[in-house]
Amino acid sequence: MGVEVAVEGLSKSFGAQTIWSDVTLTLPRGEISVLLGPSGTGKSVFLKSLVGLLTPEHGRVVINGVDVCSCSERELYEIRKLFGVLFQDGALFGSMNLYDNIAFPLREHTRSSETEVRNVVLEKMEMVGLIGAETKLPGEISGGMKKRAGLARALVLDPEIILFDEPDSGLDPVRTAYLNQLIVDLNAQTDATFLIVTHDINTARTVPDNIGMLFRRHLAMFGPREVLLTSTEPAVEQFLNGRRQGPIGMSEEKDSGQAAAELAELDDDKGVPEIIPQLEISPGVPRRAAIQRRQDRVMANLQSLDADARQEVLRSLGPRERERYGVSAGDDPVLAEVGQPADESPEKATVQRTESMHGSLSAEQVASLPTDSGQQEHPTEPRPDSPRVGGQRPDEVKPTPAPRREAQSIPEQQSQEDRGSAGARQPGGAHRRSWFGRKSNRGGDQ
Amino acid sequence: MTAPSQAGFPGAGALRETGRLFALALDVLRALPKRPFQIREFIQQCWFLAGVTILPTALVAIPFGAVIALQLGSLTRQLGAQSFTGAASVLAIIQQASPIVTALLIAGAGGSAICADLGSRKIRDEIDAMEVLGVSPIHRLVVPRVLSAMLVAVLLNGMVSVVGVMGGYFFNVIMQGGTPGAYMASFGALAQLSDVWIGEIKALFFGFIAGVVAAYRGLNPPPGPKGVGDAVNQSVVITFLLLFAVNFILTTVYLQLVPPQGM
Repeated sequence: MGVEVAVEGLSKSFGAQTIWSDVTLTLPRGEISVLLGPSGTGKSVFLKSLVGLLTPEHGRVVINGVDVCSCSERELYEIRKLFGVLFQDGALFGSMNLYDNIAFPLREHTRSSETEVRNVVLEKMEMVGLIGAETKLPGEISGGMKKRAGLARALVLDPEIILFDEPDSGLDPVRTAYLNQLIVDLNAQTDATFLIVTHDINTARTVPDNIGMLFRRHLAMFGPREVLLTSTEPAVEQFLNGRRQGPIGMSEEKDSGQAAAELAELDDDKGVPEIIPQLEISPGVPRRAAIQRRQDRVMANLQSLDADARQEVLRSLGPRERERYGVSAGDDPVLAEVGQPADESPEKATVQRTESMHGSLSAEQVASLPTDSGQQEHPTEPRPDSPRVGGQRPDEVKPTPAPRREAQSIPEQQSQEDRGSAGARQPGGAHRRSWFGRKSNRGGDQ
Repeated sequence: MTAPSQAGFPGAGALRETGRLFALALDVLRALPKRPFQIREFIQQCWFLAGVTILPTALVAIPFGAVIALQLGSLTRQLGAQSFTGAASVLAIIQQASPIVTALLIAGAGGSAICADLGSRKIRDEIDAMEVLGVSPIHRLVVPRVLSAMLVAVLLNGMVSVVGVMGGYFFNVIMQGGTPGAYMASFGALAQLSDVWIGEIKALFFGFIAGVVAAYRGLNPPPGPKGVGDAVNQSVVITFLLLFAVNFILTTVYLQLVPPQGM
């Protein structure tokens, strides 16, 4: 599963206005990539070019050996069956209710019986927390629900490439956190190739394996997350910091002299904020195969990276990976620091948990972790839900210590409310996060 | 539409639009035999189009028939050819009035509804979403709409003919004191069966043109919600112009090819 998308020298303009030119990047198979950029830099246009809705003037988009920009209409429709696309406001069919909307691709492309359709549709609806809203028309639901329904529709055909057009615009922070978690879990389950177009910094910092940025009608950068997150490129830095000082102005771009002056003023304040570890998969979801592949790829190109990025890559390695790639702790001062599990400052704790994602902690590190994290080492084993059911020490038993959600500290009440609205059928408090209720069950059953 | 920069000479934009319109018409024809035929959508659209057009068509057809009857009635009385009133009014209604009334209604009520529907789908990304899901919007949405416009146009044409002739009869016989027998008997004097056929064929063409133009403007609206409104407006105007031109051509060809009924 998962298909590589190779974009070569792509250029698009509307009339005399160049949107972007000479964009070359490769979305690696099965990995999550994010495309950032200030508003109006043609991120959505790029997305539409990938699926052949718009035809770029130059360049190629090669998927499975077929160039989307120049292939025949029949080939294009075949290639599109590999895609799942979440449009900005869901793009649901206004004349159909949610159930029919989500069933639409199945009815068009498969010869499934109505019962099979129903099973798949209900599974996807539960995945995005829309059970109970089947008969609603798209005009009757909120923007967030539309987005989730659009996602469910994009997923029903089990696509190998999933494109998200601003999944987080217009969603509240809690739902965005859920959606991001859903994206990571989906990637682990399906091993599909993901591309998220967004301008949400938090998403960009926590979700992807690779990040790209469009700026000034060019692809400013594309590479492993460590590279962009440690970049000193002014535009990237400004964007990731969300500040006014820098080359990006209110309207497209700024006078370069002014930008330089502002940056000089900012001197002491420069630098990208510290890298936040990627979101982990939810307990019970199989490991992401992409992580290993990406690590191999990044490690192979390690020497070509900046010093900062290199350091971050090395820092993210667990002990087992370090052994695998022949990196010793002595190579880098940061590693020695990470190696000590004793210090329980919150930041260090999250670093440890990142490592646990790879299932490669040493025995003593496992001992120092909260119980449920330890169990992630064997995600496929039947696992009693009991440690999470008790809920006596909510901080410790939180199933996913996603830093983003901790930072926002969702009150318990909120998640109760969410469960109510999503209409999960599980009794009591067994499932704190109803969006993933079914999946964690399934993982446990294996 | 976009791409104004390519316009090299005056009128190039209009030519390009025309080309695209014809391309869409060809696409529709090509998608016609494709399976599975969207029978459900087709029936829904027929029902919808019939719903928005039947009443206005009938209401337009009655006075249309009446006006022709009154006009002809006074004319024929002056000429002393009262017995031919029925024949003349049938000829006028079946050959000319009913395709024109059908065209007006199919373009004004049906085409505008199709255009607005597709246009609002387009700006909500529904059309794009459908394409991305691997479903051709031309096959799924446009073909059933064009076909239903054609079917409804043919049926409407029949209805206008009947209602118009009945209106003519009513005004001629009741209001002007004509003889019912003479009115009915003269039907066959000037009119012939092929007049009905040409009326229906015209209606078929009108339905196709109205459907294709509405779909074309609907699928390519100027940006924004206002764009959809503009597109609807343009679609109605363009359809009117095209329909009257086509009507003129078809009438000319028909009159050349089919000899009039000898008396």
